[in-house]
Amino acid sequence: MIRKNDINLWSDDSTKNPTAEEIAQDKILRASGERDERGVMERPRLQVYMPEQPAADPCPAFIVCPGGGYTFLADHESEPVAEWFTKRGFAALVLRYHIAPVGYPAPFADAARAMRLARANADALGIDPERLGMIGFSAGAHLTAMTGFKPDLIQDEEDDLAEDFSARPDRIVLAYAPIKSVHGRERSAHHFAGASSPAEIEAAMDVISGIDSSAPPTFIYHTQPDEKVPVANAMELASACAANGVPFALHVYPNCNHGTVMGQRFPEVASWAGLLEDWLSDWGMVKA
Amino acid sequence: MSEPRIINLWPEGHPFNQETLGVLPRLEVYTPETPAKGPFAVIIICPGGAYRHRAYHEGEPVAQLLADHGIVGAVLQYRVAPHDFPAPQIDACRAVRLVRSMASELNIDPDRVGMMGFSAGGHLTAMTGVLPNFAKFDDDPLATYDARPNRIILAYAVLSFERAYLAKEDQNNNSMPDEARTIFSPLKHVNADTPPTFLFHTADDERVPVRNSISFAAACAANGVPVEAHIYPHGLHGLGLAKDDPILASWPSLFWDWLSDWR
Repeated sequence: MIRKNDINLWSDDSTKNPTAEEIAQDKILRASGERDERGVMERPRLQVYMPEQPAADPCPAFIVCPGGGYTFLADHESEPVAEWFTKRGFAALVLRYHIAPVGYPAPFADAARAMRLARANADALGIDPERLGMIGFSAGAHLTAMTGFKPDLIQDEEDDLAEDFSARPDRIVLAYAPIKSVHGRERSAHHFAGASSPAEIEAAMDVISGIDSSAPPTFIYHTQPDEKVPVANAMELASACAANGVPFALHVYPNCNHGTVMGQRFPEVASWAGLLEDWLSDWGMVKA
Repeated sequence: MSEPRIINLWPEGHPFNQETLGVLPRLEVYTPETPAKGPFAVIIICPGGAYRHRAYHEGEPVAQLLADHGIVGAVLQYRVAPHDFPAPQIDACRAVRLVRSMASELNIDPDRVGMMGFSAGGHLTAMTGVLPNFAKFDDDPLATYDARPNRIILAYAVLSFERAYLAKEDQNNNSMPDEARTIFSPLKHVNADTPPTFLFHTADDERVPVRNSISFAAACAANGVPVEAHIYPHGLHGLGLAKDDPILASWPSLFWDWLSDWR
């Protein structure tokens, strides 16, 4: 795959970018264990990966949202996923979104902005603005579902593309997705005290309430023994899609815990990636 | 492929030995022609057909394919109209008991007896999985054998008769009393003893709404029953093995993976 320059989500002078002092302070807090040591405070951006052999011209693309409970961004759900897509002829844009201590609404503003930026830069990137999907894992799947089902939830005044570009992905893929997020609410209650009540934030971050007939085609993957996100989340998502006439796929396996990514290291569930290839065959995905 | 072995479910003269669609209630057994000596796992196959007929493409070709994969496939010719439910389930429970009682003769493992059903046959399979003692007779010499399959496979199955689970055109059919709707809804009876379950459905199935399978999968999960579910976005009802569909043809391979420890 070919790595291109990152695309920053927000202008250089945006307060959404951490300052050098905040980053220095953050390093200390993580080293001391006061913040998740797996995380790092960084500038929100897209990391761009292009395939050596695009499946189509312009190239279909997916924005990739790694998981990590909104407290870090999991490496194994970032570049390896980009590799999976580029091998099959798709572009992949890995989203580095806000994590704790920054919470609601920042990650959701990031994801909407990322969709719009990708579409606004489609020509320059060589990607298809109408075949732009989003895939997420765990908390990243919550973020993906929020962007798919509630694309207009966050009206960020810094998002100068909001009038011209839709933030709704054309398809979404949800891997072991929670339909509610407790982490984000707790963090946001701390960070955004006074901005919204915890109940308002909890309602805003509920995925199911956003599902209606305008939702994009949705692919849901989950494993039953998942100890972090119960498989019932997947059933609820599928039920809501079915009830609203949203085209969807649901694939549930009786083996493996949370965090199987594309199944590369888990033979019992490895077939899910093949099912995803088939689901994207009408976008030109090349089977690996 | 050799001809199947025919095993009638009921002795001659038994009141349940009633012909429908030209055959007596029976099993048509296809055994693997492999170097492996067995004992084999066996799967009893219940074709669909709204309890009025029995779809050929959901029977023999499935059994042949099972035999090709090292599993005994036994097509169940259960009674259909004019005989009402529970006649089909009486036959299905009998079939499981009969197979177990003949384990050594059939060269099968009585602890690896699966049941697989399509559409109405999926309903029959699920009923047998959740309520195996529904059809037990004191004078049945086979009653000592357990009628519960060890695993069940449900393809676009009817799993509830509650109105919300029926196709629109069936929702106003009042021929079934509410009490029967509950009794004959496998979804209502899922518990921790329900066998490990594999579900296949298409989301835009217009004959049997997909929520039958979603809710059944959710009920399995809630009861700690191992469940695998594959719901594809598109496909007509009654596709069987879907071998000519480039997307749906993957479902049998998922099913082989699920059965890998039985092959």
